[in-house]
Amino acid sequence: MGLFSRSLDQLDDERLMELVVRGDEKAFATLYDRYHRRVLNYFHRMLWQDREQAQDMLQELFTKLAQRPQSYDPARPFRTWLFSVANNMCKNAYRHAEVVKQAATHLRNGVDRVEPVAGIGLDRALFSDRLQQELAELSEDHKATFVMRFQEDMAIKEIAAVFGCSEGTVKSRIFYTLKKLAERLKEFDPNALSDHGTTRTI
Amino acid sequence: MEQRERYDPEDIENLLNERGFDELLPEERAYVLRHISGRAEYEQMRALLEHVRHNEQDRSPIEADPAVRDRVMAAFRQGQEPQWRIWLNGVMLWLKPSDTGSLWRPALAFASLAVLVVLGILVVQLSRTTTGDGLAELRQERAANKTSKEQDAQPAAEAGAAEQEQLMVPDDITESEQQVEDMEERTERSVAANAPGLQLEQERAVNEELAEAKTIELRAAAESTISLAEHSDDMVLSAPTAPATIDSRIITESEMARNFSLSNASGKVSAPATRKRESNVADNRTRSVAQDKELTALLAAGW
Repeated sequence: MGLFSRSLDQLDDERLMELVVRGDEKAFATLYDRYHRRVLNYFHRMLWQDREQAQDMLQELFTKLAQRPQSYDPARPFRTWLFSVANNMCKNAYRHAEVVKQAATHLRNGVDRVEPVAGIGLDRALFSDRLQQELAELSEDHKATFVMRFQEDMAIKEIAAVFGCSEGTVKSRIFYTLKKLAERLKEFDPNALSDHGTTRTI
Repeated sequence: MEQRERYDPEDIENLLNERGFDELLPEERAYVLRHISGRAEYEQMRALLEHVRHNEQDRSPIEADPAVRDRVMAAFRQGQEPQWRIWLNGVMLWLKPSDTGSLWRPALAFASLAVLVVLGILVVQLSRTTTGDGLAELRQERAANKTSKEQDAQPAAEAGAAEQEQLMVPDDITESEQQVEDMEERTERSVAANAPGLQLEQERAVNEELAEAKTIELRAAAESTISLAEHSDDMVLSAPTAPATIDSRIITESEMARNFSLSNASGKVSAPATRKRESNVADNRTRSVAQDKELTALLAAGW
């Protein structure tokens, strides 16, 4: 037990949540500053790269946390709990936004007409767009698993905790998502181009 | 076979990140080929992971609007405000709940508890009352003794101040003395009721004579029989045997004479003597103790 109180920045997430439950505003602000950027980008990737909607979801998530901090389960890591809540919000957004999905499909149809640049001239912006389109075609759980694993750099164990499933399930999802995306985005494989020696048109 | 079972899809992910298809060990390649069709698919997946990695490195994260933070913090402050409103309809619901069917169990439990508490209080009170009655009676007796003693002591003190001769009587014998005095009073009343005129005159004359003689005798006897009186069990008081203390009081000759004349010619009467005297009172009410020659001789001998 030290003689001086520790700075809030040095406290872990779970300890900060204890303070938030007691009504500590600074602890809540520290948690917001620590996670708002990651959560915002997660929403941005999951919700069709819609920045405004991602900000709305971010505000809704932390407003829920501010109004009912007791809903946090202390037995779970805060980070895992936060992303599980965010993932559930994304599922609700998918279910109640059919129009957005149709718009994404329309964009995909437009991109399909684009002929990618082969080999070294790979346009990364184009790849990013195609990747997002293909992710939108995946199931919610497979997409979220892929985003958490390769874009949020979360461990298999953390992802399993977010979804409440086994680590084997997460590994299986990742493998089949990679396999499916590789099949759909094979035009961006320079080795394939060099092997076949022809430019493919999608 | 066992080596192949070590791998799982996550291991394939690691293999994709680290090695090309041609760099795989034979057992690794065999395991990869169980899940992937061939070299081409393996290289496609490997290229995809590389693109994703580069894409994330080039991608600049978006920033949230500061207004979002302000709104979230305002929501937190609002949630922390205490809610002290009490609505009257809520109070009425609390006083008279609509769903009474679910309350009979706790009501029964509270009622049983209340009954037990009341019974406990009654038992404690009864036990205290039982023990307190005896004490109260005893206190009343002592209080009455003290009152009569004070009433007797006051004229005695006045008389003692007037007279020069004083006798010291210890305080620890005042209770037995008081009992004897009370008995004497009762005897006097009963005697007076039976023969008021003659007996009173006879006794008064005898008392005066005896008082003068016995006072002198008692003074001498008191000095000589201090040690003897201390070892006597039957004698409650014969003389000022105990040392004079602050609690002692002075009795006058008239008091002493009165005591001798009625029932206590020896100064004090022991308990057996008192009982014997009480038994004889009914038979021989007119007889005075002062006329007992044996007792008089005993006193004269300084007993």
